[in-house]
Amino acid sequence: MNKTLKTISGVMLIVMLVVTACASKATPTAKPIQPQPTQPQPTEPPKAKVTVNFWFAGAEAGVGKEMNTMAEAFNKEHPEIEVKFLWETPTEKFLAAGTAGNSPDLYMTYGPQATGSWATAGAIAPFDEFLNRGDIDVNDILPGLLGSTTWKDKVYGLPYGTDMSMLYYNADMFKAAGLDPEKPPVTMEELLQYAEKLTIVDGGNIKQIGWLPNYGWTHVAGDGSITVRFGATFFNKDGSPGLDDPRWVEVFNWAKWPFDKYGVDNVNRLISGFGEYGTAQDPICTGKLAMIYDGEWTVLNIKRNCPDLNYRVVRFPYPTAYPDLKDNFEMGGSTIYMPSGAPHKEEAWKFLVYMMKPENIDMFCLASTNGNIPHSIKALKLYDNYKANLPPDFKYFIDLALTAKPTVIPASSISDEFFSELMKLEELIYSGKIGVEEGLKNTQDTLMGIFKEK
Amino acid sequence: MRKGRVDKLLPWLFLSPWLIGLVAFSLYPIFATLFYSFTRYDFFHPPQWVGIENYIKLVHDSVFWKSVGNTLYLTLIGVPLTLGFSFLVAIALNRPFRGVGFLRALYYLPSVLPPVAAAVIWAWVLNPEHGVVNNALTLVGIQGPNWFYDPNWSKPGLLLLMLWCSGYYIIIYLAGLQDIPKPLYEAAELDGASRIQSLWYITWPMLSSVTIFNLIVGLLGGLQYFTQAYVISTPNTAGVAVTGAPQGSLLFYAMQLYILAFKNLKMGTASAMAWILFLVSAIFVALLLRRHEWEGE
Repeated sequence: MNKTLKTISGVMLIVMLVVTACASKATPTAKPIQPQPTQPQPTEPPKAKVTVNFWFAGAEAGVGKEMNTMAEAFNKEHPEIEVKFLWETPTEKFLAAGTAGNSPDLYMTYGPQATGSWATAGAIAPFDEFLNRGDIDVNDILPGLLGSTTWKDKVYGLPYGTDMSMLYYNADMFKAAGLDPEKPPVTMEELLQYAEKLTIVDGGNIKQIGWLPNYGWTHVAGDGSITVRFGATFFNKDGSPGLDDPRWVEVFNWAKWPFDKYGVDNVNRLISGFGEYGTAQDPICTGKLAMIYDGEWTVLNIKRNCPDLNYRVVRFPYPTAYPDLKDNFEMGGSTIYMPSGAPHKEEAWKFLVYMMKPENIDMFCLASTNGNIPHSIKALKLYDNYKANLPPDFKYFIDLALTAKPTVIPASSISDEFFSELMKLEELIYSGKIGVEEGLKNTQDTLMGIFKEK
Repeated sequence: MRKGRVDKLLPWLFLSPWLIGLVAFSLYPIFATLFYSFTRYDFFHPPQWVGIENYIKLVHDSVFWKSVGNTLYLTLIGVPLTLGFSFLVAIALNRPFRGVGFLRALYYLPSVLPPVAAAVIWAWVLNPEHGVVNNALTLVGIQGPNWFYDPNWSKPGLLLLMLWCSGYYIIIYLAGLQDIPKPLYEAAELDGASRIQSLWYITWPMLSSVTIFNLIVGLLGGLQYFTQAYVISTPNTAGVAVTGAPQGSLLFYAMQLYILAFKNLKMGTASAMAWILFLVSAIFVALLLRRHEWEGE
């Protein structure tokens, strides 16, 4: 016993010593990452080559070829700079690198959702000083698009290509269900009536389904948000969560249709059997799902994976109660950030300016296998150069981008948490674990707590 | 005289690479997290001292308790189950019969698989629509459960995966079994002990050290369970994924810690979680060892 006591006190002593030693050391290492001076420095020309590290959340398979072409041309034009890419870098790795002082110079994500959270944390730097130079024509960016990357009057992210989601439907399945493929649903209520006709249940098992609110990119939150079609508030002006907006109740009451109608287990079993999204085995190609709310890239996916699919693409329906929302749709897509700890901001900006040339934007958006809507008006107007490579349906998106006024989800200091909490809520409501109103209230309270803490 | 000093220093010299590594890459980070657990720290701003606020917040956080519940379920049910299963399999594989070597290899094989690969395989084996398990059940007229798509069945699904990967424990048990002196069994047989009796009165007590070892390894593994659940609980769709799906039933302690630290940038709270886990693990292990010592006396 005495011996144990001695050992314990010995261990405690060592622990204390190490802790105090560490505590005094830990503070200086955790210095805030000072924003690097962004003004051009009147210094002598750099002797060694400067490497601009550009990280991507996405995979090389999608846009790697186009980015490499751009980088090669840029490197030739600027022998003092070398642009290097790193693909498939998750946001966690990006954030961790920032703290360790290994920030890349640029980072591209799938969407602008994290802007407010990262800006609040100090992980990313605003572009304003650069933008003030006028190297990039801000007025050429599609109207409203910068709204999703602006936080507290500063622009923290630049769009690079953008996305719009529409209704895709399988015309052959329409015919088989006795529906006229030239008469798509126009209102949300109609969509559910159609979906019911397009669903086949055999002995309790769903063989095919007309519509799903939670497949692929389609969700109440995130990139393919059906919520925008209801005009519900995501964030209030101050960035606080807007789930107390009564329209959210309508969103969920509408969206949970398949689960109420066919049972949670049955729908989940059907979803579990779907092949991977965007492949020849996905339910759009295999005819297990008749209608989907999806982005312009799906035109290319269908062409590649199931070219014989007889489909149409039209505006996604709107709620009968809100005819003013008939023409509204969501826009938002790939976003480029500059980490606050980026070592070569000046050189990175030069490459960004190069990337933003209309012909380069078009190469990225229209020549790649991914398929994106150019975010620049000039680039959109050069569409005809690429017309031959793209399925005719792509033009539909281009025309809409040039004429319509899209809705953009604004930034908030809790945007990241907001979307994850909303996804959790979605799962709970669809599975019937919680009522719509109660769930919304709980999540609003949780998010309000996080918001106040920041 | 000089030689004596060299003799004393030499071992330390040889140990020094490891010692430096231990201090720099283990001890320093471990105790740095103790400091961070009393601060609000988001990576990008200097840590602010907040006292025990992080710990208090955790106690009032329902997600934290959900992850604790899930982890305890897996540890308290999964580990004894795995050890019991491994023990029985090891006994079966300890008998000399044709093909025993092949069978031993077969049982051990799954545990050499990387956890991610094992998880992906089991996500398919237990796929509600196309998985072999549910297809087999359909043949006998049973509608199989939705496994990783149903919060009531997702953890049992993981338990199956755990059992499948228990080759490591089986091998340790086998080694232990082969160390038990044969005369003990012979003596028992002479005294008229049945097989069950010699199993209960000889094999099980003789293996108690091995069991304790397996129990500690299993317990620590269970409390830190991460990879398989992380892989399986990311749904097979594009876009935003919720970790721990379905309905948070696969949100384990280490996953919640990871989300707090690297997604929500709450290093302080995550560090507090890490220290709670560390202390709980230490208490568990200390209790096990003490009990073992006491039994040994």
